[in-house]
Formats: sequence, structure tokens, C-alpha cells
Amino acid sequence: MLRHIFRYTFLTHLREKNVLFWSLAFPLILATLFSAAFSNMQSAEGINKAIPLAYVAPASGNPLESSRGILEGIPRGGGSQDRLFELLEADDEQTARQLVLDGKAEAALLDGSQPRLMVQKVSLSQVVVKQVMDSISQARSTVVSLMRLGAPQQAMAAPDKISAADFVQPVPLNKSLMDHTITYFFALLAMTCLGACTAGAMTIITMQADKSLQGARVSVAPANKWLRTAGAGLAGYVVQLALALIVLAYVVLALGKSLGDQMPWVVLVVTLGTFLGYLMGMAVACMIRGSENAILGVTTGIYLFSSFLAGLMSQDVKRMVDQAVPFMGQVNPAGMITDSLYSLYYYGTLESKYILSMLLMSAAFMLLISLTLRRRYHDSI
Amino acid sequence: MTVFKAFFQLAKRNLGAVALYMGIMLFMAIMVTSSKPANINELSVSTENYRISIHNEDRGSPVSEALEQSLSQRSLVKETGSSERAIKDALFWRDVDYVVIIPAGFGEALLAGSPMNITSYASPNDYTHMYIDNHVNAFMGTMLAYQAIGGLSTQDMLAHTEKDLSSQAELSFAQQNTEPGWMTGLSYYFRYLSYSLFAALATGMGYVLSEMLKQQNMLRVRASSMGETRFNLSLAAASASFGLFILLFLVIGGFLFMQAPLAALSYPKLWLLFLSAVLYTLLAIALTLLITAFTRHKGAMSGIINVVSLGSSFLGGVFVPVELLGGGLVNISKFIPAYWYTAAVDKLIKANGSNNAVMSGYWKDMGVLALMVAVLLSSTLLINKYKRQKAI
Repeated sequence: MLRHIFRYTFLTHLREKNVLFWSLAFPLILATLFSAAFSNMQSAEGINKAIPLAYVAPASGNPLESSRGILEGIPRGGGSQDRLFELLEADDEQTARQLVLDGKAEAALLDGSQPRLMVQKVSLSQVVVKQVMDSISQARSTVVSLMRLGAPQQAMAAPDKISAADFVQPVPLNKSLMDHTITYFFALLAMTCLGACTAGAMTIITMQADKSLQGARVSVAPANKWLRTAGAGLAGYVVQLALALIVLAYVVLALGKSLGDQMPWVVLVVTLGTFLGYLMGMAVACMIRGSENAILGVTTGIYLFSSFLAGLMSQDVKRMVDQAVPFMGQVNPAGMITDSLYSLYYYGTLESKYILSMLLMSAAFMLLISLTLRRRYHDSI
Repeated sequence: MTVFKAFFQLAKRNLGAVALYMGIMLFMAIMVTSSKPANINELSVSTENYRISIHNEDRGSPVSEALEQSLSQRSLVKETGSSERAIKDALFWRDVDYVVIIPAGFGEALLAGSPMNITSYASPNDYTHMYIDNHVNAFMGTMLAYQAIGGLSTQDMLAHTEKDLSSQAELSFAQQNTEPGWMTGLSYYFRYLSYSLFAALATGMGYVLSEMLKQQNMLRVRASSMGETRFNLSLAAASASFGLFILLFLVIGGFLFMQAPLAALSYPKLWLLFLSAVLYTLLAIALTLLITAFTRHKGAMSGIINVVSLGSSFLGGVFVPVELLGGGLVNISKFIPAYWYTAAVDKLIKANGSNNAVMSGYWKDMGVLALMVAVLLSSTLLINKYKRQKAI
């Protein structure tokens, strides 16, 4: 009997277009969209050509106030012989302003004893220009100050000394692991796993006499209720797990997203997550007395809200929940899955607390299912 | 009027799903306004909004504390845990962009002329850290320059250094923005409106049309005394009213949320934003009609609407800025209506006064959007005609 129920429930689930769309096609489409939209986000912004800078010479004509020589002499770096700035001569402030407004110059410099910069937006180029001009102003101030203190030799050496200062030692980080857009894929996988809750709810709906006509029909069949539930539940879970693994394979193999070096553990997390989602759907369906639509509406709402809190729409949401309401972050099923995947991806280890939380929650749902299904009989509907 | 009333009776039954998208819009508005600058007059090319965390292991040293204070004045200091794991977590989730660790004994070593290195962690692809690196190096280099002349007290050296470092190039906008803060917020609100507008409208309208355009219903309508043109006109009027109702609800919600005064109505820019949204509403109606021309199955329709609304928002520059999409992808995006809507609204956001070049770009984007509405409506009419002729 178990084999019979398993086989036909398995086939029913495979032929259910609605389930196939939401559990397979939708995550695949969403993953493709994420991949396309974030594909260019990690490519580092750099200075690949000289920064066009509108330049207005000092009004006083004093060569000591001019930064032109310094600006023209700065190399672009990275072994390149090219210059960092391309100076666009402007006669006056208005011409320089227009060059910026027309997008021909990234910034305009009105040179003098108190140099002024005009920009219209803030990006890497403007930060570089500001940084260079600040350094020049600061070095000038130091030279003047040292001269006043009666140290002309030190004053002459100061600009070189300051510009040569390099005391910041950056800690090398594995930048490929710092791709925070990966969290969208974690949330997507969590959504796929928890999407099994719709199939879990359908298992109960089709088994219980007061929830569907099919439920009423199978309830009068000479088959043990627990056997029916176990057979149908197992078949539904196997289909959902297969769909979740297809999504995982698509993300890793087709989209080329690296989820870390611990793939067997990732598969385990997906397996457990799908199990948790499936049981959650069954538990919700057991507890709600209502129509099929009402039950499916609640289960869909729960898993989408859970995925939303885990950062499906914005990673800031997950961080906000984790920091402002940590308890909610810890009991959120989608959060457990994303945290496990994050731990595997970023640290290469699966923390037992996440697995334990998922197992505990699964056990709690199983208990709920057992308590609500037992001794439930209908004399009439 | 019968068709018009029937439309809204059916629409009422599906109000829950429509309300869900309205809720999402409100939430997005909160997120967007909290992350965008309240007033874009504040030019932050410096590091004032740059989130850094300072771990000073050399407490008590005047030099270390002066460096810490100097950095605090130029950035937004955030607390993070001191363990390596806590620092890495904070960098991954972008709680902070930069972490600096001042080692124990740093102050004394600098005063002795043999400086110790400062350890730093920076987010990848973040360029502002160069500014902080530069500031730390300038601080230490300047201190060493004063230390070299000898005879100066620590306090004097620190005072001279801070005075020198405060000497900066003055920065200003090439063209000053005179817009109030709420206008900036409203402009961004309109930018993100396209997702919810389409999702809510298509979900509500798709449900109604799937019921009203059922083959059995259509056969009954054709047999009734009501002409087909009148039926179609009533349906078009009801669809337009439904779309306008959703648009007005979202716009008024945005107004209340941004606390815009009534005087906002006198801003031409607001009317241009509204005009863009009206055109996008027409486009959403046309697109929904096209979807219903293909399928009237509610499940399939829900799937298509979700894919189209999310897809066009991701690839059309709503959720992810167009500049961050690859060159090839941008070319594909140009076939998506949301791209032209976002481009038009972005031009208005960036427009300062009535810049002719910007405004001509805006009207060009609106023209493309109008053309897309015409193409979608024509396609729908063609498909419907074909299906009617073939009795599908």
C-alpha cells in the first residue's frame, strides 16, 4: 500500500504544473535575473584613462600658488606611463563650470592659494581629485608652518616625506568571498526549499476528509491514515527535494555562482531546508480549518514572508532583522537556511547550531502534525 | 455601465493581492528614503558618511587618541566587535566599509621617529578607503616632519598636524540644487513606483479580465443587445479607472509618507513625474491586456505577471541601477518599458532647473514609452482579432 500511494502521489506531483512553476520555473527565472542584474556589480571600478579636469590658473599669476606642475606630473599608477589627469584649460570659472555640466570634465579646479573644486556628482574620479588637492593643500600648509618654525631644510623635505608615507597595512581579504550579492542566491535557495510547504500542505489537504473531496474519498479507503500520510508525504518530499537540487545545480553549474568549497554540506542544508519547509506546510495545513485556497494562501504567505525576512528582496532587510530583532532572525526558517549557507560560503564551516535549529524545528512540526492528525475522524462533513 | 460595475465588483474580490503589492510599495518607500540622502545639497565627496570602525589598542596615548579623533571627525564611526570574525562579518554585510586597528605602542613609536604600521580592512571595490588611508598617512607623515625638527612638545606637534590636515580644497556643486528634501524623496519614490504599479494593476486587472473575457461570457455578450464596441469601450474605461485609482492611491501614499506640503503641486517637476507615471499606467494596462490575450488561466497569469514585474524591475534599472548592468544587458534592457520609465524619471531627478538638454532627453524617453504603449495595444488587437476569426 505504501508503495502504491508513494508511486501515484509522486506522479501527481510531477504532473502538477502549478507546483512545477512555483517550485522550479520561478526560482530558475529569478536566479537568472539575479545573475544578469548582479553580473557587473563586482567588477572593480578603476581609473582606466586620464581623468578630465577643467583647470583655471591662479588669478594672481603667482607660480607658487599653481598646482599645474604637480597635477601634470602624477602618473596613473599600476605600472602605467600615462598621466592621472588630463587638464582642460578654462579661461574662467564659468567656462570650467560649463565643462563639468556638459560632462566633458569630471571636476573643475579653480587653482590658487585656496584651491576650489566644482563637481556635479560623486564617484571615484571626484574622490581622487579631492584627495590629490587636499594632499597638496596640506603639504603647502606644513611647508609654511615649518618655515615659520625656522626649519627651512625640513620644510623643503616635508612634501616628499609626507607623500612617501605609507604606514597603512591592509589585511588581505579573499575578495571573491566578499561578493555580498551572493546572499540573494542564499535567500533564493531558502525560498525554493521553503516553497515545499505548498506541496506539504497539499499532502494534508488531499488526505483529510474535511479539506477536499479527494481527502473524503481516500479517508474511506481501507488504508491506515499514518501509512497514507507517510507515503504521500515521502513522495511529495522527494519531488520537492529533486526540484530544489535542480535549482541548486542551475545556480552553481549553469550560472557559475560559487557557493563555497563545501558542496556536500550545501546539499545537506538544502535537503534539510526542504524537509523543514515540507513539514511546515503539513503542520500549517493540519492546524487551519478552512478551504484549500485559505490554507494555500496562508502557507504561501508564510514562506514568502520568511524568505523576505531572509533578504530575498533586499539584503538590508536580513541585516536589519538580525540586528534589531535577533530572536526573529534565529527562529525564521529561511534565516536558518541562509545563515547555514553563509557560514559554509564565508567561513567554510557548517555551524552545528544552524543544523540543530533546523532539526529541532522539524521535530516540533512533526509533533504538531502528530497531535493534530491523531484521533481526527469525521462521522459527517 | 453594467460592464463598468461588473468590473469593479470582480475587482473587489481580489483586493487582498492588490493590497499586498501596495504594502510592498510602502515598505520599499521606507527603505529607499532611509537609504537616500535627505538633501542632495550636501555634497559628500569627503568621508563624512563613510562608515568606519576604529579599534584603538593604544588607549591613553595622546597621539593615538588624536589620530582616532581626527578620523572620527572625517567619517561616520560605527561599533563592531573586535574579533576577526566580527570584523569580517561587518565588512561582508557592509555594516562598515573600513576597519582600522591602531596597535598598542603606536603613539610612543611615532614620537620616537620609528612609526608602527596601522592595520586596515576594507570592503572590496570600495574606493573611499583611499581617502582614509591617505589621511592616516598624511597624519603620520606630518607628525614625523614636525618630530624631525626637534624641540616641539607632543601637544604642539599634534596642534600643528591637525591645523595642516584641516587645510583642504573647498568643494561645491557646479550647479546648486535648490530643491527641497521632500521633492528629492518623492522623485525617488516615483522611480520605484513602476514595480508595484504594474504588479498591483496587472494582478487586479488580470483577475477581472480572466473572468469577464471567458469564452462563455463573451458568447453571451455577443448575443446580448449590447454592441461589441460599447462593451469594449466600457471595459477600457473601467480598466483606465482602475489603473488611475491604483496610481492615485500610490501617489497620495507617497505624498503623505514624504510629508510633502500642498505647495508641492506648484512644482512643474512633480507634474512631469506624475505624467511619466500616468504613461506607465497606460503601459501596464496595455501589457495586462496583451497577457490576457494569450492566457486567461489565473495560475498561468499570476506566474507571468510575477516574472514580468520582477524581470522588468531587475533588468529595467529599477532595483539595480542601469550603470551596474553590463553593456550587452543594457542593450536588452532597452526593449523593456521599465528602462525608459526609469530613464525618464532619473533625468528628472538629475535635472536642475529646466536644463534644455535634460528635458529633451526626458521627452525622448516618454516618446519611446508612448510608442511601446501603441505597439502593445496594436499587438493585443491583432491577437484578439486572429483568435476571434479562428474562434479560439
